[in-house]
Amino acid sequence: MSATVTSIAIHPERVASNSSIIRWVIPAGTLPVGLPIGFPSPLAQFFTDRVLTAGLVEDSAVWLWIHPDESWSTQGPAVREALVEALAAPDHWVIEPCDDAVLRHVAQDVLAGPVGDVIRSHGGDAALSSVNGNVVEVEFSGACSHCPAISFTLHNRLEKEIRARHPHLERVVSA
Amino acid sequence: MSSSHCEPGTSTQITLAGKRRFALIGNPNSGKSTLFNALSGLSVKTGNYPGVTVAKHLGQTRVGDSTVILEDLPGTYSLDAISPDEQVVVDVLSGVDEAPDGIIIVLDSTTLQRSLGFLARVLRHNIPAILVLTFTDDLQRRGGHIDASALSRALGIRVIPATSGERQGVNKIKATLAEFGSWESPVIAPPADAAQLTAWTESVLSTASYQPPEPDRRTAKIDAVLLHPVWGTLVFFIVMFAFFQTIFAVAAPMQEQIEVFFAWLGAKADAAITIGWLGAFVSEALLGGVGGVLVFLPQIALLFVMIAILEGSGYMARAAFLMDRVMAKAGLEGRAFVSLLSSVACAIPGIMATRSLPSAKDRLATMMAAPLITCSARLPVYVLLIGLLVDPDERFGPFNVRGLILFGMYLLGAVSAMLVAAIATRLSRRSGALLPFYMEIPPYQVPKLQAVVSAVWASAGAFVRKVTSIIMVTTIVLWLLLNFPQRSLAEMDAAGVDTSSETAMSAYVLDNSYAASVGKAVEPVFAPLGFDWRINIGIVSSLAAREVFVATLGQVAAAENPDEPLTALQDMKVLNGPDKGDPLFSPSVIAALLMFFAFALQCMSTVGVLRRETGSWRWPAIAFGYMFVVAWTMAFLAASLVRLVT
Amino acid sequence: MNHAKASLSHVISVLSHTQTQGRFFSRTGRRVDSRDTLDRVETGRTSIVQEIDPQLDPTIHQRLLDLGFTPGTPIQVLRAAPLGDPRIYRLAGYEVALRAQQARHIVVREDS
Repeated sequence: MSATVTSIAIHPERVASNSSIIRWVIPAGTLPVGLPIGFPSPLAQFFTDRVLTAGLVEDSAVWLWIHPDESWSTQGPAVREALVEALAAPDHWVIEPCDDAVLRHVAQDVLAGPVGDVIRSHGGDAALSSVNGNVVEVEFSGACSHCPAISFTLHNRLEKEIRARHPHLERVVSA
Repeated sequence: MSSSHCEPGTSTQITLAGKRRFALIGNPNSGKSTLFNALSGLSVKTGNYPGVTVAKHLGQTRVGDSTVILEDLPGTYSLDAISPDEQVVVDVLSGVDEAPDGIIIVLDSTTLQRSLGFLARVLRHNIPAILVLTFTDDLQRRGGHIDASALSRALGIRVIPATSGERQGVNKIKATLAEFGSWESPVIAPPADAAQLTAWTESVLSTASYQPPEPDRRTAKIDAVLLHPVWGTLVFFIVMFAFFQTIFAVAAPMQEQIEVFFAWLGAKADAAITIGWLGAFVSEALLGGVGGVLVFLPQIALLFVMIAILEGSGYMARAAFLMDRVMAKAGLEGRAFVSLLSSVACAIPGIMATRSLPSAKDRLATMMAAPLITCSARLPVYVLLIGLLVDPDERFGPFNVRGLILFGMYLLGAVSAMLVAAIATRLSRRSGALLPFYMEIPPYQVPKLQAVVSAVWASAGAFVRKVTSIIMVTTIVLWLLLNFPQRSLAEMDAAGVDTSSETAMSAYVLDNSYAASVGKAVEPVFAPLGFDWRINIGIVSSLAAREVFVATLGQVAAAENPDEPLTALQDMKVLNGPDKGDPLFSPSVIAALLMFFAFALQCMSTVGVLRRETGSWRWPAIAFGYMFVVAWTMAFLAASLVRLVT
Repeated sequence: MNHAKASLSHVISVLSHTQTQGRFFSRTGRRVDSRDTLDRVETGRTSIVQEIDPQLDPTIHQRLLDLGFTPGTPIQVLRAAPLGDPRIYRLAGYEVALRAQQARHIVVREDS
């Protein structure tokens, strides 16, 4: 075969609420969902050097927190390479399940992102109130809270989006 | 006609002060220029980038309560420039000139797998950008899919889906331009490394649920015929035949009407103006000269209609594909065919069309060859000369002899152009890397009326401007040279001229005019070909544009016999030498003239465009020189040959 | 699993190909080089880009990548011009004409 290296398909996305986080979209199912506490070697160095401060794994993405003194635009390319290498060795990750913590972040991101956009465009709003035992509680307000049809659709869509990122989701309930 | 009706107009500056500038960038065939036209409307101005002759298209549009400048960059597949057009894009992006405030990246949604890598490289320049996805209706029709908002999140920039020919997309783009200050930018620039880039593309497209379209079934069905080894070739020749038929046959009645109109106008003017010489000036020089050239307007308009239709429908790429092997014989590629085909109208658009050739050597070879193709400026010259040579009803078998000779002249032009291209590519082969040949074969489309209209409008407009400037000035100067100095009756009496005969008086004025001195000065050069000073005036004046030769001979003849210029031309006699008294336009002289006009670069507009396209006087000088030598030699050979057989 | 597949296909190729000076004749009688290139793929067939000749001029190399000839991309040979060259290829959702001269630099493997 040729020497051409085929790289693992990833790309970075913003997380609406926090500019120090990048959500790296990775092939679904590469890593188990949870909070990583141990990383394979090139990526681990970034944590040792305090460039990166935390991580989170959802079904098809890895979240990485960068230190406030660093910037993604300068560190990003190097982190990308390290992450690709680390993803090639999924067995070398140490990941704690921590379902509720992961769900909280995912739910918040979904509410700030595409589904939240739909809600807001209809004059409503939705906020995360709690996550407990894989059940996500959301508080709908504004226009949507009075309309059962819309809240039903939104509710379904929200559940679908969150479950796509975190398969352990039990259900979404309205507060 | 000729020439520089197709010259890009002088750069009209749209005031840049304080206005935001947005550049449109994208692949060829991405619908970028259509979008640009839709955004800019009638405000489009064409100029040139400094130093090169890559056309610069500027337009403006109102967004919100301010006006923004739009710039349509040449289409390119890559930011590793291998042609001048592509270099312009690279220079604009890297701010060599002055980087735009923002860029509008235009990508065909049906070819995203290919073009996302291009987008990545554009984004690496860190200029605020938005993405417009075109042909989303085609994507859907062909069973493809894209989630534009997911794509927008994955790319980190705004994405606006657009379909061909709907206002909504345009309005959405305008609204987005108005929000320039809040455009998002990618959180991390896309990777540069090829393998990582491929991975990035794959990841982004899968996140955006991209489903590439099925092959276009309509295009596949049409191509099964149009690119079939037998039927395709047949259709190609039919299309080319129809192309020429339309230019010459359909245009003819319109041309006659223009002729009739100017003749009528001239007669009116002559009758209305009581000062003798002024009346003659207005009817002969002004109306005669301009009218004689404006006759070609229908042809030019039709030619550009057809090129726009062939281009817009997607057939031009197929024609280039079918002709590639033939062009390869001359060391060129299929796209050079488009350039040579355009040269049938005029070498200027032909030379400008070489910009689509990535290889600098191919461009040069094509530019050296294009002026040999029988352009429509040669047509009136040929028609006049062949008319003097052959009776209208003479036949050779079932064919009209005039038509046959004319066809022969077209063939001669095409064959000699190919020969020159072959020689030029052989000579330049020694240096430089071999550049790749690649050509996108776009799906068939119904040509956009707007594109056809704007192509015709631009070319016809430029032609009319040229007629009313260069050609008008030339014909006026010529008229003055031919008719001055005016002689008094006393002078003529003294010279022994029969002052009772108007014809004799005109002839005397002409023989002693300033023009006669010019014609006589160059006589030694052309005497071996059998040309006398009266023909020489025509040749010198045709440097302005070939068709001026017709107008000049007309004026010379009219000066000799104002009432019957055509008869005068036929009755012109050799004035001195051994053949004195024989008709001036003998078969050998006509043959020599035909050859001379077939090969000589008698067109200053072409010289000017060559200068601009190549960036130096060297190539136009070489072209002018070699063509003159070939023209003189061929004319001499033709004259000698005809003299031998007659 | 990739390795297993590669070695299996290797065994098959050794069993079913007669080696003559580094070239093989496949079961279909099509001549296959140990490095098959795009210009040799029959009209109508689909193959996968493996790599672009690394010795190719970097600018042309990059241009072929920009045109979509990236490793892993499936390419279908659609049709040839009346005199056999150039040919039209379909890849990445579009069609492009290449001369054999360029296609020769694109190393492909059979679509499995």
